[in-house]
Amino acid sequence: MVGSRFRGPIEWLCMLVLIGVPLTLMAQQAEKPDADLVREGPLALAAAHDEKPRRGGKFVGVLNEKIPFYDMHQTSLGGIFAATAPAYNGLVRTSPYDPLATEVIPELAHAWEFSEDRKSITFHLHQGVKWHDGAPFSSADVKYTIERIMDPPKGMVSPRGPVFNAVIDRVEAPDPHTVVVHGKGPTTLLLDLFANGHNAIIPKHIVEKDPVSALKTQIIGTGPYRIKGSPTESLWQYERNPDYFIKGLPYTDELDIHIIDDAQAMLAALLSKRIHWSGAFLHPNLDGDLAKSAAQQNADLIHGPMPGLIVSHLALQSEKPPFDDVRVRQAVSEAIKREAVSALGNQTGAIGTGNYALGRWKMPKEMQEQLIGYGSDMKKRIANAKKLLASYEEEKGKIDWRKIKLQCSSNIKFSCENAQVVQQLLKKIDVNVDLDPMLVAQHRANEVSGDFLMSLLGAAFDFDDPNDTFGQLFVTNGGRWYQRRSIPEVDALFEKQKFTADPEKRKELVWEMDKIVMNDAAYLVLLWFDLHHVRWNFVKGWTPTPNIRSTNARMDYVWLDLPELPHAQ
Amino acid sequence: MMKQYIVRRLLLASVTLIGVSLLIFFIMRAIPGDVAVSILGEGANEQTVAELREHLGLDDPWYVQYGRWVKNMVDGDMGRSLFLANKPVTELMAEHFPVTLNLSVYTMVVAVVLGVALGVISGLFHDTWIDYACRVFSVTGLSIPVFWLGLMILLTMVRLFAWTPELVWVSPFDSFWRNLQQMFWPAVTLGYFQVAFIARMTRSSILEVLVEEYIRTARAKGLRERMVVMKHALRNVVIPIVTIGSLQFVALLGGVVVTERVFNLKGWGALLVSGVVNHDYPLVQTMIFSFAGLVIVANLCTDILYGWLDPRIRYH
Repeated sequence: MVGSRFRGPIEWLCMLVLIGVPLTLMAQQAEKPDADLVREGPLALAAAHDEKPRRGGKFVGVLNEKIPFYDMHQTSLGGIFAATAPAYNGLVRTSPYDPLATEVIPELAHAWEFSEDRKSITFHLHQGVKWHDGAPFSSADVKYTIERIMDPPKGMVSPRGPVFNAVIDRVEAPDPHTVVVHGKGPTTLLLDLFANGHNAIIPKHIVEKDPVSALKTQIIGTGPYRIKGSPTESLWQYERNPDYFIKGLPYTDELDIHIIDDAQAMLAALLSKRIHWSGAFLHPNLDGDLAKSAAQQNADLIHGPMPGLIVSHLALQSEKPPFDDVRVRQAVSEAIKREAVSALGNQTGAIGTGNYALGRWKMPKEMQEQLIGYGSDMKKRIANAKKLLASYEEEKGKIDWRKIKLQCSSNIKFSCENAQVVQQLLKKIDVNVDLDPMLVAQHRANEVSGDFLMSLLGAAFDFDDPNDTFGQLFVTNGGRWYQRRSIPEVDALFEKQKFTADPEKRKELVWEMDKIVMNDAAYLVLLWFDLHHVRWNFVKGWTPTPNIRSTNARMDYVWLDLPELPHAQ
Repeated sequence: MMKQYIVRRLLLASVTLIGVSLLIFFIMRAIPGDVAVSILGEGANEQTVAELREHLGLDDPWYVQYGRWVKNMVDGDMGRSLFLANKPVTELMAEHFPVTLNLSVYTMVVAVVLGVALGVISGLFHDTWIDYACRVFSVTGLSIPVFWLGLMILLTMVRLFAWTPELVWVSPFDSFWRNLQQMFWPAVTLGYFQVAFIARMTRSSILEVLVEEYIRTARAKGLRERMVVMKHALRNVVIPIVTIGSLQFVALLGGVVVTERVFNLKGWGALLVSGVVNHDYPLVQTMIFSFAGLVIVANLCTDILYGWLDPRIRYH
């Protein structure tokens, strides 16, 4: 009898309203960009992503490399970034729930706007923000930070200075809560630069006393966590910053970061719950097999493979024979079946060109297949490679491949494994090279100084943008210009795309550059490889991103789904 | 006589130390690689590396760098780490030393207790199945790679009990029980490797001593076999064990790289490896120099100990 009451049209209408209205509201909430949601508070952001965070507890993390000093502006070492990131903030950051780490949300700046010509950007800063020592934060700190990166004091090396100087003209602080950054041309990079976790804002009042060394030994930020005591070589301990300007964050009370350099020892510690995950900055030797086998040992462990903004490369030193001739370089590229590197090596990944293989700048497949080294017909490629080598040898004499060594890093697992695969693939064109394994410190130094002929290692990037990838790899004198091949046409295209505001036009320019450098074959992209992450299932609020230096290392949105902890209000 | 001997040994030691300082200085510079690249990370390029090298004084000629290091040491300044935030090397060594000392002491306890026991049993029951079993057990320790044994112990503990030792070193003065829990398995891993040396040395010494006339005399006096072995035989077996033991102990103090890595202990081994990998010249030079000094002092102490243990030994 009760059921019959719902058969009338009015009742059906009521039901529709009762169910439909909340669903519509939820849908609207879900459609809101994360930048708007976070302005309503971290819980609104969490709810939109189906999370109901708990508050409290201690999160125990891990890092895999020694932390030599604490000033992240003087290095590109990922370990220093990941260890210090919880103490700092940037002007903006990427959404903690965005798996591609491209959606920019507020941090120290609650709002921003580009000028009409997109040549400058104005950041409006939160008020009442304090440094961990109690001093007030202001726009002067932001101005000082940017200027220190662009024009470092004598005795300091600023690895990201060239990128800043290429894009930024000057910075102004018209009032304590406003910062205006003027670019050298119209570019969205003015915002993206500040969403890179490495470009955190530092305290002027501390650093100006000793601009080179002040931050090497102390950690004073505005971030969600304050350092507890002095970090040791084994352990960094953080506690919640009670004055944090984003109310409700961080979710955990304490954060411990252990330093464990051995991948097996780290997994043993993870399995015994001494640590809660395999790290924000992923271990280079934690490959797919190792991560999978660890996760299989306990049903409560989650293994999350994630395509990364890291390439495994084969650099050919183009200043030295025989690689100073494009025919030899192209022959090597044609012989290397990229899919084989992924299938036979221990590190899986995606096949791509100079742009991130799964990102917004990737080249269409049909265009990619036209490039040297990317055609689908391997027989044709091998024949072409042999023809190219024969043409070179007819003109310049036989190449003595026994004298050519392929350098790889013996303490970076994928490096020598992929080198072995390349070594085998090159045999198909009758090229026999020996491997030259060495420690990564020596190997990287050789790449920087050009002391090699063939080198197989990797390079990680901060964001999926040609300004970063091409600016580092292919532009003359770029940060990782290991192959030393200067192509004026690419340099010109790079400058042109940098200040092209129309995304479609920019894409065309980017693909044009990409085609040139791939066909020039001095820097061979073997694969954009997967990162592997293992964590206990009670660790929530963490999204692995392709960018290993993403602002998620801040750890403020991470929470522990343990029943003894109350839900955050 | 003793004083003259010590002075002569100390003079010889200073010559050795000068040789060691030159050797390590040039070896470190012969290893390809660059501390500037280690500091800057993968974003290093030619220009930034050159700037940093100049700032660190690595552009100076070798004799200037060597002279600066030696002069600083004579002034009592052992140098500062290039890689680790310019920290004084002595401070770094002091920070890491307790872990190494702790592990070395426990390891030697395991090695000596097991090694002497196995050696004595082997000697007393020589050429019986007991002897064979003891010898197989001790030689197995020598044959198993230390890193493999350490990893197997670690993974077995995880598999069976979901347990691994604590990740941060606990001082025995803070909690002896937690310290013992943490260091037990690393000490067993390392100690088992050392057992074979001590057991074999003990066995052969026991066999030699047991046929000596004073042992026959002791037995003829009607002493019980236990007294004969403990009081008369073992006393004379101790000397070679002290020699081997002290050398092993010094070697352990030099750092046990693999075991420290597997069990995540940050001792001198970890510090030295980090220094070598990152081309931290002042750190490695000073550490190797200190080890050399330590070995010289340990040898001297061993020789003096000989005299105390066996008054027949005289110094010429």
